[in-house]
Amino acid sequence: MKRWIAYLLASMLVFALAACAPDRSGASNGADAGNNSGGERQQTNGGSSPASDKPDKLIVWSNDDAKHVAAVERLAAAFTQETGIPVEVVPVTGSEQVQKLALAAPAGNGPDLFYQPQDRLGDIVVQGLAEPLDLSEEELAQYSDAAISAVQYEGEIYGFPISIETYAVFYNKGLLDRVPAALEEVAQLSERLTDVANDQYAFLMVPDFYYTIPFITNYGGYIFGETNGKYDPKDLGLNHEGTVQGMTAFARFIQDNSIPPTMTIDIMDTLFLEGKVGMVINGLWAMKPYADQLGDKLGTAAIPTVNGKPATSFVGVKSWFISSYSKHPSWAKQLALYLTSESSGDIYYEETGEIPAHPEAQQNIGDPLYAGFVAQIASGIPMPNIPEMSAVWEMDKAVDFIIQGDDPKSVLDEITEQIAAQIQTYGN
Amino acid sequence: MDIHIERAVRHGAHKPWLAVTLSVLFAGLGQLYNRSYIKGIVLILLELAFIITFRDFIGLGLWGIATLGTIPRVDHSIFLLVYGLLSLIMLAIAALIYILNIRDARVQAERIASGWQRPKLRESMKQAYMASFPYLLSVPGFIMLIFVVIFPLMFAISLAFTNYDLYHSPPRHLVDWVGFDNFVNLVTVPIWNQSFLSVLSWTLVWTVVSTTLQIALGLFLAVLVNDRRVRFKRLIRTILILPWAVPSFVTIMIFSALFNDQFGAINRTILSALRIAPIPWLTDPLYTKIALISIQVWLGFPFLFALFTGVLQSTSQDVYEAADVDGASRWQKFRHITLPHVLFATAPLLIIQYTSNFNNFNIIYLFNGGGPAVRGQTAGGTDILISWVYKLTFTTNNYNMAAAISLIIGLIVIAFAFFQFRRTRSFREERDQ
Repeated sequence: MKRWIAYLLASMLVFALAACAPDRSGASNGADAGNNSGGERQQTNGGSSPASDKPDKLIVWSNDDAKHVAAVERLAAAFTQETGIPVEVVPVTGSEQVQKLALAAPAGNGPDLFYQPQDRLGDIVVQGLAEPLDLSEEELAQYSDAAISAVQYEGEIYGFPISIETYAVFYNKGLLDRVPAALEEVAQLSERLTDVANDQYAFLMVPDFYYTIPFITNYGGYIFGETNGKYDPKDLGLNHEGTVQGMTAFARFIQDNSIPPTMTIDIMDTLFLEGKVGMVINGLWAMKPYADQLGDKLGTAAIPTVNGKPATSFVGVKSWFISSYSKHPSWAKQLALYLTSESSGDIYYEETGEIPAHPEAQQNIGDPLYAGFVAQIASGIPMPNIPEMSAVWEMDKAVDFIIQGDDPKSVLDEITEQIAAQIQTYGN
Repeated sequence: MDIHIERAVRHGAHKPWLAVTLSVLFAGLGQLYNRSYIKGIVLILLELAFIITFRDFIGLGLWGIATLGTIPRVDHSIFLLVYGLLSLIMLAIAALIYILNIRDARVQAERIASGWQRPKLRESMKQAYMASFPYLLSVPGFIMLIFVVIFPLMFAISLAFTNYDLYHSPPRHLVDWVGFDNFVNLVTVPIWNQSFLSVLSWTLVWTVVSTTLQIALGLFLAVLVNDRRVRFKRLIRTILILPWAVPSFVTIMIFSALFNDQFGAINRTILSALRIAPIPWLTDPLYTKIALISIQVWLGFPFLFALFTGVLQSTSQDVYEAADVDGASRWQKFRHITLPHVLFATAPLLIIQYTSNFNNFNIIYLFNGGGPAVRGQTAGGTDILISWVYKLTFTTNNYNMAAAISLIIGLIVIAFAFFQFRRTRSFREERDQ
């Protein structure tokens, strides 16, 4: 038997000798191409691109939601008509795009434009899948400051904002005439409307970290420290004195309004649709089912003030990004600008019901139900887009403990320590 | 082939060592020396074709798997790792064929040396075909297995020894080999080791209790329904199998709503009718565990019920009649006839039930997301290993740690299954035949 092993080793050796570093002359061309694409973009970013290098086609990875695909296809067809460049729209599930891009793009099978919410921007930049943009004043004018600040990473702009989403207040006009000015006043409403035994509530929300941000920021707390538009993952403000005060206020708010700690989105929707709840905090996605059921009785409003200041909310900005491996970055940029223009924003709203990022397109929305959301966006804050944010969702646990009556300070100290430890494992 | 020349070869004049040496030098040379010309030429062509076609690829692959790339943006570590693993697989296959070639040369040469008569071509072809027929049939399946099972497994195992996390992700960055660092981190870094033991122990309790209960319930109901005195057997069986017919994720979501502390039907309707105070099903870890085990029993028993019913129906009544004659009690008949009989026939399937519950991600994740939260640990109160790994790694792109813990989970399951399968009588029986 030993002999066979010797033979095997001998034959392996023959092949091992063949295994030396590959000839890089071919490969380095690829490197140059990659760098070129960045450089080329820098050059052509500012001015108009020469018509001579028109690409055969541009590839766009759209979200695979049917409404999104329909909107993008409609806009892409118009772009083709205007410029003569065919656009291929490939539906790829939004949450899988980054992972697929990391494999497909370097192999040359990637798109020119891809679609992501801005909170993935950190992941995208760290993996080198998108390059910073160079936008002129004129080009920047078609986006609101809030939208542009959301697609910035370490001071550089990376994305073309398509639409903005956030949460706001839905209320039942059959139960209350108007939403109170301050969230603290909801308690008076609760005295009148809330009857836990009969499932009647003045106010309901899901006690998740996502929805507690107005309490944290309005009492002076924060998530990550920020200098010059750059988040510092080492500076966690989650056990900052302001956060502790805010979460204490939140626990009191939940208690005063008898909001059940195990409230889920399904139960909240059911009760609100049954007309048993005065007001709820929910995202834009709930608009259609709510409006279908409640009709004229449904109203929306910005979240009432917290601690005397306009309530913040997490804002997500869905955006187009140019792939680092795009062979036609300047044309991809033209397409992205076209897809996010005012008229495109109108069409996008029409097809998907989402609020466009273009400020004028936002004003063009006729449906009065959107007013509450557009007002809320004005005081919204972008969800931090550094990769370390994914560890911060551990805060959900802290919210659970605090509303169940644990001491906020000790809970927040503990969770901050855990989140910091988890951020350590990110390998940065 | 050339029988005349063959006969002219004197005993001992044909040298096996020479055949072996020639075959080692280049596949097929030994066969030529043995005067198996067709075989020799086929082998030579095969080796030439292999070297010409795959030399570059294997060269790149072996270099790639050794270094995982040297220039970011140009080298994509994950592609290189894949090429490397494919190269290793191809080399292994080539080495196997090479060894067979050498062995064939030696065996043939020894036979010739001892004066063996070469059969006619047609004869030898037929012999070869007959001898290799089973292998011929299983080769396509085996190759499938290599690429569908073994290759992904090798990939996952490799990742456990790299630093593949977000900040070491291609194309911008390269992945590097880090040896056993991930496993060392697992026992030294607080967020990993703090929760590991409590999660592992609950995982084991969960596996053993929930599976054993579902087996016991399935068996109990099967024996009960199988009793001669029970009427409407078909109807009862259909009803008992219904929980199995509903997709399990639907069942779990519905149960999750039923168990809600404040709005669920269990607290609100059933317990309040019994005048029992509401139980914190979703906020107290102990009650969540009880709820989870009950749901798993509900989900799992119909399959076992169907399985046991099948075995019981095929059991010969003679044995029971003989037992009756001997004056055996009901319990004795169950203990000494029914139980061994049923377990003997179903043991492998029961083991699979245990191992699949060990990794039953769906129920844990869908029921309460591994919650409720527990102060001072990263895992929730009902997280099992697999759901804990998911939380800690996939949301934070720690692929390397995910691979490392998955490897450990895999080893536990393999060890458990292997040990149990070997003890199972049904397997031993097959071996004895």
